[in-house]
Amino acid sequence: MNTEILGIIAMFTATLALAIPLGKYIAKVYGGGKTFLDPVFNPIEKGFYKISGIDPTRGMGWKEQMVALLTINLVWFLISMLILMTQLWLPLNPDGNPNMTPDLAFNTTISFVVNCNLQHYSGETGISYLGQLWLMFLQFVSAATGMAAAAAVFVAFREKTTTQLGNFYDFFVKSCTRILLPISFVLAIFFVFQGMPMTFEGKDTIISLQGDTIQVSRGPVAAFVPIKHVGTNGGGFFGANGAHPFENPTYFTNMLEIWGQFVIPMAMVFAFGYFIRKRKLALMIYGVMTVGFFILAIPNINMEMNGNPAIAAMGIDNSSGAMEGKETRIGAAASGFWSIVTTVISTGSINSMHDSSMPLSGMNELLAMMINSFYGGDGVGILNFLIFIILAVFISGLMVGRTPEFLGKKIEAREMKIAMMIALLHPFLILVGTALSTAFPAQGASTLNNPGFHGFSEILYEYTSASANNGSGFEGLGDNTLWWNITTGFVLILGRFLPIIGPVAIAGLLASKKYVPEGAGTLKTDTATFGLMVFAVIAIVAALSFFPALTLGPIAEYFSMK
Amino acid sequence: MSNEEEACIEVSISIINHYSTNFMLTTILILAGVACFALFLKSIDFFEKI
Repeated sequence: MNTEILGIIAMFTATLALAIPLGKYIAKVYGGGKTFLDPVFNPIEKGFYKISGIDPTRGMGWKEQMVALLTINLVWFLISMLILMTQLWLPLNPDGNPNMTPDLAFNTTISFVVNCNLQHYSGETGISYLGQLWLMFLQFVSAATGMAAAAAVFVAFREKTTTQLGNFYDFFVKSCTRILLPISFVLAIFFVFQGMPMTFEGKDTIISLQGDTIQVSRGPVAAFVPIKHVGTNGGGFFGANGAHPFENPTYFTNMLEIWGQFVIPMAMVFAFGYFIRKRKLALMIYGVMTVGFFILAIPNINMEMNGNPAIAAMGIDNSSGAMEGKETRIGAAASGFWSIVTTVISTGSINSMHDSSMPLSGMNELLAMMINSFYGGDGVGILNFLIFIILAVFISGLMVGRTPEFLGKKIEAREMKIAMMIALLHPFLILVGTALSTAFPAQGASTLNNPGFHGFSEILYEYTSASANNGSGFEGLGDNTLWWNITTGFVLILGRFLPIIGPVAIAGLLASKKYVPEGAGTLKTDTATFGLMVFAVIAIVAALSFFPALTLGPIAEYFSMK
Repeated sequence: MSNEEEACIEVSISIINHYSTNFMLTTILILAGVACFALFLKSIDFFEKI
């Protein structure tokens, strides 16, 4: 078998093999179980809790949890604006990188607060080391925010009837210190040994073989890259992100970085099953997500490995695959695989230029973000999937004439209204943003480097990436303008917090209802049949909402190559 | 008014213009961000009472 394919199988198998025990561990952490890190972090946490007057053992309702979540995020938003707009005058700026403009700081701040990491600047010239460290902090806390919200949902579905969904601060801090930090620390050690820089010195000067003097950017890259992936953030230290040799030096680091971004979203599904003691339900969810992932990933790998027919028609050797925009040390197969991993999960890091993907590969990358619930981001992936479960339960209930119930709780009009609003918000933000940018060419089309169908795909990709909180770019787009910075900034923030509040509200409202024991008439939600139903709901919602836009972009481009 | 004085005034005005534009935009964008968070806080009650 092709060694490139073997590499992909190894990456997926290693992720699955470690996601199951990690899921068990995460369930233990959120369940209040003891962990090996308690002796290190417990005393520090107690100090912080004492200073801030927080009692981490006090139960909080869903509303109180959401207020806490929003409040701390608001504080980070304000601090971040201050740091990014004054970085020139602050320490740790050996290269003298300038202050960000207000609109760029607004976009960057929101992008990192919401776990998206859409970047309209280049790390080499656009941000100081202090700014990078601040963004690294946001990469930890934004991922922990999503995970803490998911933990509250876990509690809601474990208890028969309750109004208390655990303590937000407890879940949040434990997500950082017991899950994200140790995994990132271990990965950072591997990365340093693989040649990733870890220094606070400024640019280095080298003489190339041609005799040119070159300034080479460096910095605390090995500290930044692990949480970039483990937190499903994706923001690159350098402009070229994971295609830069300092951010992804070898095929081995490529495998580790894929593992890093994949493992927690996968483990959260198993953690849900262990936590609520319904492993069959978790397997159903995992099954639907994995089938969806393969449907997107396998064609991508195949198309990228087969090469570009337009290049072949010119008589150029295309046997190593569609290598435009790809790194030779990584290859076409691993780049195609990464492009779907990073878009299915909301990481958004890249190791090849998605703008150079084959047209239908680009469509799959877009679809992965449009669906946004096959694994999804840390914590938020399972929240997004919950919306589709609620819709599927309701539709199934109507079809078979039973009261819609999920885990012993009746789904009523209020939950359905919330689920529908959240399900429609994502297409609304993407399609309205794309329509506005297309309708005003002075703002949108004039910033494109490619005309026609491909240019439309670039606009569509930018808003899809922003709304899905993914952060990857199709590129080919001059995106550091007032228009792009502000419009995507609003899409980013609206696409983050409402899809967190909605599912937590549904879970909180369901948790407070009377528990209805499972009977002969109960619709079973942990079966393959129900899994198929959920998959159909996802496919219909995505197809109906996005197919017309995809037709104008990647599908039209595919046919234009014929 | 001498040429030097005119040049000084011109530079001063351009600095004032630059920083006032930045100040205005910064204020607007920060207020917009805060307004979004206020909207999300409101949405909590909205979802409960819908």
